[in-house]
Amino acid sequence: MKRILAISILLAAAVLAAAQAAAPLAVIRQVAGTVEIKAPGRDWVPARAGAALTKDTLISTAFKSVAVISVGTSTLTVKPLTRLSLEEIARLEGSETVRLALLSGRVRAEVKPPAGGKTDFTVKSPTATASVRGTGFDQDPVNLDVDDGNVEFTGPDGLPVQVGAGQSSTVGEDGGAVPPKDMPDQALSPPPPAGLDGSILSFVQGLVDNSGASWGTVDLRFNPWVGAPID
Amino acid sequence: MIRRRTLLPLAAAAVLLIPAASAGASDFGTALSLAPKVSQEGFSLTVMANPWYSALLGENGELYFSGIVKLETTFQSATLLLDLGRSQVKLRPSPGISWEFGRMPFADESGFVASGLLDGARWTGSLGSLGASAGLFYTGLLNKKSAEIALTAADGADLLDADRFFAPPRLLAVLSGGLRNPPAFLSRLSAQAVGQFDLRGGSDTLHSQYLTLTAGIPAGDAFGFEASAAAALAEPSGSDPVFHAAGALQAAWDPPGALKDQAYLGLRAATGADGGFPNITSLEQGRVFTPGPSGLASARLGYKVRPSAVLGAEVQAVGFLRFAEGGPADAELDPGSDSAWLGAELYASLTWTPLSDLSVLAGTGIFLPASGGAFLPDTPARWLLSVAAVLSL
Repeated sequence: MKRILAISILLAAAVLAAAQAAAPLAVIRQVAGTVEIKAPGRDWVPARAGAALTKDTLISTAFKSVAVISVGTSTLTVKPLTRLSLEEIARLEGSETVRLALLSGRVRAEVKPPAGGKTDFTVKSPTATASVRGTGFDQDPVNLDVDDGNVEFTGPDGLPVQVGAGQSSTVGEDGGAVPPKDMPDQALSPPPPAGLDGSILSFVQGLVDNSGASWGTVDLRFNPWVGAPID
Repeated sequence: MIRRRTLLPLAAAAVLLIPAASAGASDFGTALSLAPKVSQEGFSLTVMANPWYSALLGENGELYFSGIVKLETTFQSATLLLDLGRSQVKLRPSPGISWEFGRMPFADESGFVASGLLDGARWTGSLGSLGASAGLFYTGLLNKKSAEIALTAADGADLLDADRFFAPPRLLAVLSGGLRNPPAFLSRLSAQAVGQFDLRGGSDTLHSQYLTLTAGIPAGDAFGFEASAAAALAEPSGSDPVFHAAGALQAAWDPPGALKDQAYLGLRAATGADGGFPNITSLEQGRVFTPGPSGLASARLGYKVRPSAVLGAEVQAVGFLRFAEGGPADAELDPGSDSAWLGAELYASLTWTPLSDLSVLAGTGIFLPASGGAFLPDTPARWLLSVAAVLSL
């Protein structure tokens, strides 16, 4: 009886270990709008929550479409009009290696190392590479915004700059990553509704206070040298 | 007739560009805003629709068109404003370089010269160790109510002329440069030159040139300072050029901790003598009391916080002083008073985004003009209470 119990436990442990080993490292958690994926050698198909993603899978989002993907212990938000490829996803001895190729568009990454391990998380675009080990950032092919932790940002010239929390960088004309600068304080306001341009938002702001409604009472500073002010 | 002639090229450009863009990814939508407001002037309800169209032009370009349909109603009247919003083509021929054409946002670096949508072209790139930008803009196709340009008596007459749609015709040439690698004690150092040329002709014209310098000065992880100075040369027709100056200093403190918040203190002043600092657009200096910067000094103390991902709040107090000459024009100012103290306002606002397609903005504020003596003794407080709900369709 004890032998059967021991064998059962061993079998269960083996099944669990096999299941863990086979557990996909990248899984689509949420899909909003039109999101498509293309596994190697397959056609584009609509993405669905819960779908597992393998190495070299392409992900594409349309306008107003977003995908949230768990990549190991990190979270990747693929923003509208983005195409990226999962070039490498690996877990070895408690540490994770994630390499993403951002072909176009913008992603947001919340990088969290696994308990007791490390994450080597890299987003490479045609013009720049961001490498992180525990942080949150937004990146498109040229620009990087970091709101938590530190990111090593490298342009085509291969010279990295360290971009800290609350800072941004971009790729300059000479191919170098521009030294980081503080981001504006838009982080202190919630994002505007999806699809709403900043210029439209400023018109709306002008409806709330008096800043956009003063055209009828604007100071008429007449040329004091010519003629007289009108009534 | 003039309107038709000037709008035709824009319509033709749209007809040519939209089919070209539609071959790639594109999208369109409308932002609907409903904004009731109550103030000392009574109740108003504004309904605004902002239709927009956006598309990619190949891999390195984008196209954006938007419009403004704004209906403001009170119990006595209704005012309709139709305008073209941000509508531009942006091309990025190589990393770090962009070309923009069309109607685009512009704000000078000092905040004393001009702000708003302008028609024209802008290049952004690098010149050696400088990040640089150059632009050429024309104001004569803007809606006068949106542009708020009133530099001369002729501009003022046009603003009050109900038959006139367009803003005064002026040309703006802008050249900006900033150090890409500022010295360690600076977070930013930039300069900007703006030339404004009055195309109206005749005897009442005003050209003006501006030079601004802006520096950001970090002070540890939590503090930051920014200083701006602007010099202006006004060239009125038939008179000698006149020099004007303006300056601003802002200090910001980001308290340590997980809460996203910031406290700030700002000081701003611009000369008022000899016609006043010639800011091109109106540039309101308050949220309830909205004078322009000319002949005015203001001090503001504020705090903004984002307690959650969907909620932001700000409270701000502003005190206004006027200089002996060229201060703000206001019907309720006491012509017999030479008091410099105009009063103070307190304004609080809230932004709530409960859904990704919905945002609610609320604001309330009060300006106490009688506290100074510059206003007539019986001038009541000015106040407002307003809400705007914005739905993105």
